[in-house]
Amino acid sequence: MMRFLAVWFPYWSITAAGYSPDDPVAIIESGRVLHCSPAAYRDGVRVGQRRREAKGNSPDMTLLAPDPQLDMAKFEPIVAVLTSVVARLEVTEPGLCTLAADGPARYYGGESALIHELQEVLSEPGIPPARIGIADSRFAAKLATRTGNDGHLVAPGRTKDFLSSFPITTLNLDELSTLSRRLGIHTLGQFADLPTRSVLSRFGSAAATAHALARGLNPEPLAVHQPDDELAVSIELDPPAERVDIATFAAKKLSTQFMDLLTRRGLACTQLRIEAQTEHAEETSRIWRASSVFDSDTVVERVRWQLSGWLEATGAGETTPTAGINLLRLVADEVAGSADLQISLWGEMSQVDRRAIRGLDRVRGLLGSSAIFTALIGGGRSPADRVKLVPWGQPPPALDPPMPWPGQVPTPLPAVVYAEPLPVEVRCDQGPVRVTVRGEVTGSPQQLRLPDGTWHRIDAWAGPWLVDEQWWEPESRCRVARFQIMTSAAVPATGRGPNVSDAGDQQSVHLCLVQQNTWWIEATYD
Amino acid sequence: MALSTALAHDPAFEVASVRSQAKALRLDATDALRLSPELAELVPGGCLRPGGSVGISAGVGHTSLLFRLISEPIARGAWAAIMGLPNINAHAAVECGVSLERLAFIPEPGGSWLEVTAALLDAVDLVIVNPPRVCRPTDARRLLARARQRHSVLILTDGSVPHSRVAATRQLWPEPPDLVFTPTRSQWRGLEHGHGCLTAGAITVTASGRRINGPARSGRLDLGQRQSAHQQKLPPFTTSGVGE
Repeated sequence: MMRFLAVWFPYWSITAAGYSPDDPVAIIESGRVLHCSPAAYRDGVRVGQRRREAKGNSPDMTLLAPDPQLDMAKFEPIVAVLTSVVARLEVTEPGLCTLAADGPARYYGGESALIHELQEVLSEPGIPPARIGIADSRFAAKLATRTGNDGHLVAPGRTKDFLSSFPITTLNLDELSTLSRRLGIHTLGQFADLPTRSVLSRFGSAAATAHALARGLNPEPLAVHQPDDELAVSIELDPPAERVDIATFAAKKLSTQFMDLLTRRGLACTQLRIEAQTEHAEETSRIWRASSVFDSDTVVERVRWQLSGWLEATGAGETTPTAGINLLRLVADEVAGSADLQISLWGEMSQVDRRAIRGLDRVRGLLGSSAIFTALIGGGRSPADRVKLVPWGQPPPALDPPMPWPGQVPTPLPAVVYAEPLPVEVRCDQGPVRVTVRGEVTGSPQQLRLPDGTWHRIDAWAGPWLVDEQWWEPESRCRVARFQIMTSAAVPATGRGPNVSDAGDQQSVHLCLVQQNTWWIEATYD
Repeated sequence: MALSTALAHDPAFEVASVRSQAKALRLDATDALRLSPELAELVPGGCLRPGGSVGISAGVGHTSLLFRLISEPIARGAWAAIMGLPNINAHAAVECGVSLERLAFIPEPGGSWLEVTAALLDAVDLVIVNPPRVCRPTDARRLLARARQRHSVLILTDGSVPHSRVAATRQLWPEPPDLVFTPTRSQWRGLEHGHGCLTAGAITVTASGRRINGPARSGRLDLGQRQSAHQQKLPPFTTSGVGE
């Protein structure tokens, strides 16, 4: 099992603005309190309170506007200090980073030793007090930082118990919190005890993800993986950008390119690496983790954060670059491909799309995951081989490449392909039609008998087209001949004469298959 | 669970709130449910009516007709789900211009097909159903009422195994749909006696029902027009031995 470590700096925005936790400070966004310092909290200020009410509770309080750029600029030196201890650090937001703890813990000789090591480097002057937590999932590690003052270690396998007492609002899903409170579910433990299938059918896939979080798992519906080949875009800046805003402007175009690249592959980026280089070959490289998935705007924002931290570095031990930025690079560090995600990539998801996805999730809840599908078209010879049905909500499988497949059934394609081919009989004047070893028919097909027992006159036919598939594998070797057969009228079973019945206007064409001299209808042009 | 109880116990099925939500959640109906040009000529207004029901009668060309019916609405952003047609070929749907991004398949709904249909009417704009059994009139009316409330279209098909005559006589759905498309005539080109290969087809479609003012209208749908010239000429199969 993977272990995750989180480093959290409480009240980061307030610390970054140069205030201490003992000053009453609140950060206000659109008239409401976004963050407040412990001193303000003691005076009765709460997150979400109106500005006027908060000011009434704590008249001396300083009010600030949110400034994510400043937050990141101040956070950058700390990230630099942390990366001196651990290599792969994922910055979620200013003030919070996570990392996969297994490797570093082994290196430093245990998780406590790793925490100790981090505390050592973080005790340098100028760095505000940090909290560290380790648990089985990123979400739990983040919560673990809140409980202990100097590092909380949730033992392996105990994550679910640890989470169980937290209130359900920790999941930050408003709809879920209100509803589940009404249903008498107040804690993560109670929520985690619900069966996954019920959660999915009642609340939709967002809640299913939350359910995984509550059970102490890293939510995996996204099928996150590291990209097989490097997914990266880069841009050279000429003249080099000396200022953050100029570089950010260039990043806008770059991030659109980056999103296009991912969209074409049907992927979404969950972890991103941003690299920049100056003319003097100074470099910065940071890994950013998205709360769900990166879109074009959040990528630009991360670039701005990182560059402003780098270009305007003020912290100890960090030097500002001596020249302008001339290279900017975005690399997808971890990607996910899933039906749910892809939809959001095809453009912004409309209300109609959301409703449909939620509704189809509900149908999956009713019928189980192997009853509702989306279809993908891949390569293959027979019509049935080409269509791949993917269970709803699961990542698409690897498909056979679409081209070239010599021996494919040509277009137009049959609209109906039978899951079980229909056994039929085909006759010529001399009796049943056979296909010889040399691929010739023993007679011209005249009549076709359908499984319902009716005989139909054959008006036209073509074939045999021979396919010898997988001849190198004795077990799965498949030698078949295909025909296209057009019938029109049904003829009475007794008399073999061409008595045209009432269906004379309806010509139907079947794709037939002959194997071991048995005839089947594989598909119908319907 | 009977459908009536399923609906009654579903807290989402509270009429007042649903009505106001349904409007906001729907696409601009007249635009989104517009039909492809050949079918639009047969129907007054040239579009499907949200909240209505459509029937597709059995006959050769039934499935291609279905594809043609849903292709344009899906291209305009509508979602669709096809239930109870296990033999449908999604690749042919793509060839008919149906994009698979917003199309779900439920090949075997099993015993709970009424509940699933109800849930699908909540979810998507076009619900294509091949009823596996005879539907009671009360259940049918409930589903139609739900379609009206949710502004979705219920499309009833008769997609039993084609060309077995049983299909034409089945009467599984008790309520006559507002609009019925019947493939009356089908012709295919390209096949000869022992040579050639299928290149194109055409079906004649008749539209009837309450929504057609006056006599039934007929029109022609061309099938298999999308392939390029080189694909037509492609000698399709290899020539190794067969049938030992």
